[in-house]
Amino acid sequence: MERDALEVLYNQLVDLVNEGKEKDANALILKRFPELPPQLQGEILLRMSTQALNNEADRLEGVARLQEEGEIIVQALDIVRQSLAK
Amino acid sequence: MVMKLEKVAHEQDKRERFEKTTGRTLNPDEKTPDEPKSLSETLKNPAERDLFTQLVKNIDADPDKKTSIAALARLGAEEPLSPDDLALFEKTRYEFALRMQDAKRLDAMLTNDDFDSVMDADPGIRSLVGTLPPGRGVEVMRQSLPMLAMQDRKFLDEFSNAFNRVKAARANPAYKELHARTNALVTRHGFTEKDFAGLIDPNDPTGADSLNRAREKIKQNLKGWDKFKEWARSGKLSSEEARKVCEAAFDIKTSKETGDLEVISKGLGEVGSILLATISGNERIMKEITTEIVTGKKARIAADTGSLKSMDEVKAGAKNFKEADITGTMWTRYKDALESGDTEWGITGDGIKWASRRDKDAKKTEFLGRMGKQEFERTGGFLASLLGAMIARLIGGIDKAKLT
Repeated sequence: MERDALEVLYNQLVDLVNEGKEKDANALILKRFPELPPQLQGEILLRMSTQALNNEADRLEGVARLQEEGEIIVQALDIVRQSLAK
Repeated sequence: MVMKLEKVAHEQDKRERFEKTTGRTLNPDEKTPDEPKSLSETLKNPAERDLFTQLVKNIDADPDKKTSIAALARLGAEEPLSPDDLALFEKTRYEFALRMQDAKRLDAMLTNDDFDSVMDADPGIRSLVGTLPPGRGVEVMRQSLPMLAMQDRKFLDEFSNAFNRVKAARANPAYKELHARTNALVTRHGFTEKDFAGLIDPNDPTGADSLNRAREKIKQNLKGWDKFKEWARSGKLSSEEARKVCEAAFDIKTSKETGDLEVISKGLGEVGSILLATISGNERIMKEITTEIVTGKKARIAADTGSLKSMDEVKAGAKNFKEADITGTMWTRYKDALESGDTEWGITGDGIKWASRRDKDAKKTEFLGRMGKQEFERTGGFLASLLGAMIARLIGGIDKAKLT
């Protein structure tokens, strides 16, 4: 894909995003992705991967915190319940 | 291992030369990079020549750096270079070698299976890779590493840090133990997945409605989480746990809001449902819901500490931003201005400003960089990454013919 064609595609995507049509933007890039220069394909995949990996790491770390908190909460609530039941 | 004196002296010379040329001080335990290739040797190889050109342009885009683009153009035109020209490239030559080394190191570190697991981090990545022939996705990612290193040295670090964070979290024995303990806890308390099972409609073709119902329930249950946590904390922090818990129990008993056993049981159920979500056998629900929980918690913490505006304000801001005509039209105007004379376009705090300036390419880079930042702010994951990469490519393509 030539630089001009890339610029046209970029502007089309930005227009779709500006119009709130992100699904259409996703569909367009899926359709045109194989036409992009290989270097750009790789860059897009790597940038997406970095973001996705960070999100996944946040999730895993967050889940661990939740489980730690949850463990304490359940134990404490259970004791409270028992003491109230007496 | 003991090094011979001659070798020690050689290493020391190499280190001093490196530090003097790059202005970068190496840590004592850091290996001194090998001497970089000569400029002519680098430029003989077309792939390395493109990479070197990209690096020079990136360094030049930084206003604090000396301009070497003109010297590179003279080199491309096979004009004689002055000693000053050569001096300009000396540091770049080292920087080039370092960045190539980083890219090669990352390429060697990651197996094809690693790349494959990376693709699982986001369904959007799988979709894109699915449009390419088998194995091509990994290939293009590997091939892009050197160019990304030239465009943004920090990027490779960010990528490998993110990869290592996920790998460490998954391999962490403490994480696995915690997971097992949570499993035992919810089993002991009789929490089951029936809450989710009741929300899942087997006839729901995409599972989206089921997921939304499950997510909504979790969001409701999460509301009491922090309150329960406070109670729990009062019973947890001291060695006099029993006394503290009794005090907490008394507080709860005398509270109008939470003064009965039913509330406690309900609270246990709510907390249990959230814990269940973290270990659910339904992989998709577990992943989507825990993302929701973690994001929701982060947003609440940020809101509590004043670092995030209310959601309504954020939504209103995003809507206004989307309505602003910032990209397509302005880009056309900017290009027209550049082509018609030495005019620049820029944004000041109170609007658009026009002025005269010579270094159009630098301004163009700045413009695209600014647009890139705005795109990142406006759009989420998939599109943000994609537009960012496209912008980097558009910047990279500026006057390439002139430079090579």
